[in-house]
Amino acid sequence: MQTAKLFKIALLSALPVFMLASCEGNEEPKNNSNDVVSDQLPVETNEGEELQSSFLPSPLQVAMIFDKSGLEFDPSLVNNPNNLQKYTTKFEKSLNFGAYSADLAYAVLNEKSKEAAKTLKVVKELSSEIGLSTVFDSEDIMTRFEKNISNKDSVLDLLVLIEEKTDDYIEENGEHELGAVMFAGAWIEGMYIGARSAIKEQKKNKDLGNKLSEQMIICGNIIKELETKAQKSAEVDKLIADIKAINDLYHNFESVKKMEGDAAYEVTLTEDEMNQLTGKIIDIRNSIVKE
Amino acid sequence: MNTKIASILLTSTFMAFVSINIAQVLNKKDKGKNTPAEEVSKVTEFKQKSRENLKPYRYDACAVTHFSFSAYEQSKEVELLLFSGTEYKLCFNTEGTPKPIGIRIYDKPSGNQTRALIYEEQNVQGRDVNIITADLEKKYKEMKKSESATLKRLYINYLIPANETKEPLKGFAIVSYGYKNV
Repeated sequence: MQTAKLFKIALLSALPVFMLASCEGNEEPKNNSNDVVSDQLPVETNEGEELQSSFLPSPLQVAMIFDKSGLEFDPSLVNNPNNLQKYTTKFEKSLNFGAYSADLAYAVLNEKSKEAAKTLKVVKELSSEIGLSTVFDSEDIMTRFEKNISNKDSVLDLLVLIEEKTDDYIEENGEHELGAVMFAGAWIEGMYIGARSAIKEQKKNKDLGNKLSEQMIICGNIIKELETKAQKSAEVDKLIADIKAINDLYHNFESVKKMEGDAAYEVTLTEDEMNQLTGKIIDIRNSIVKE
Repeated sequence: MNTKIASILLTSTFMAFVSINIAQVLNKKDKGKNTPAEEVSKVTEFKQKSRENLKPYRYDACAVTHFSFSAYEQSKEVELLLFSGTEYKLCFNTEGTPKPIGIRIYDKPSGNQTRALIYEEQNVQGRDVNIITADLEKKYKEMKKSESATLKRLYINYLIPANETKEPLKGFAIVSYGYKNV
């Protein structure tokens, strides 16, 4: 009797398992998990729907925006290529891949070919260490770079090619976390160069300060990208907290608080506000770059 | 003897249940990371086409939006930042959608009651749509009746119609954007 009961229990337990197994192959693909967002809401109930994805501008575009303000090249502002060996974890390497990419754009835009060549070598080396080696393997970027080193436009085309290949790698391999961390590094480095130059040229170049304000619009998007795409870790949490600190500081400035919506990014900051903002940016940049 | 068989059956059932659950979890994780090779190759091909259309603007970034057609209409949103003094070109490629979709561009995100529709294109499938932001800016100033009205962000909405068949339908749309190189 006992045995028969046990048999019944075993058979009954087996039934849902086999039903589950037979359903597995026929599961209707209700939602592609590669979709930008998994929720599929009817159009009429879109109110309150969260933003699904956002473009982050490339390090080259950020550098170009600052370049338009007449940013002059200062070799003391870039991350020293000799620091490369100091970055040991994948997170540090990804973050500094972004920082060096911003430095590379800064050097190329200022036609500093020697500095650009050194930085490109570092970018290439880091790329292979964080899994992006295909970016440089597929085309002979280094040879083309050396051949065209004196032609700014051709070198810029090469930087765009590197960006395209990096974007493709991220998309094809679902490495959105890597993309978010790299972009954060590039943005912080770009803002650092802008901030240091703004301090140096505050009296004669007010436009640089305005460009810093304008670039603050990206801050919220970087935080969102990191929060949604990067796996939680102490390093990621610290990076998010650092960028949030810049964002909060900016939005608490009197000049910014009185503006509505995106007009908050068209503000000319007071000298005190500029000092606070540039100070915060410099602190955070110096915490990610190992001198 | 029968007790032994029953115990083996119970244990195997339990093991099978655990294995299937693990497989499902791994499968879900895997799906989150990879797209089938064929789709990846199509995405790469169409992305390249949309980048080509950017010329003479310099490529900056690209967004691929994947979607599954469901029983309801859906909207998917992509945000784009614009910086003052820079003109941008947006190039859409819709060769990856099996059904026509709509493209709308707004000044504010979905959910904002005051957002303005700046651009609309209906029944887009298999063709390119190219937009210059200077044209959107011009239209926006006219709509707002203000010369000082500027666009700092664009919200691209893909309108995905309902799937009226029982066959699962998936697709994707690509938008590349570039800036004027001066």
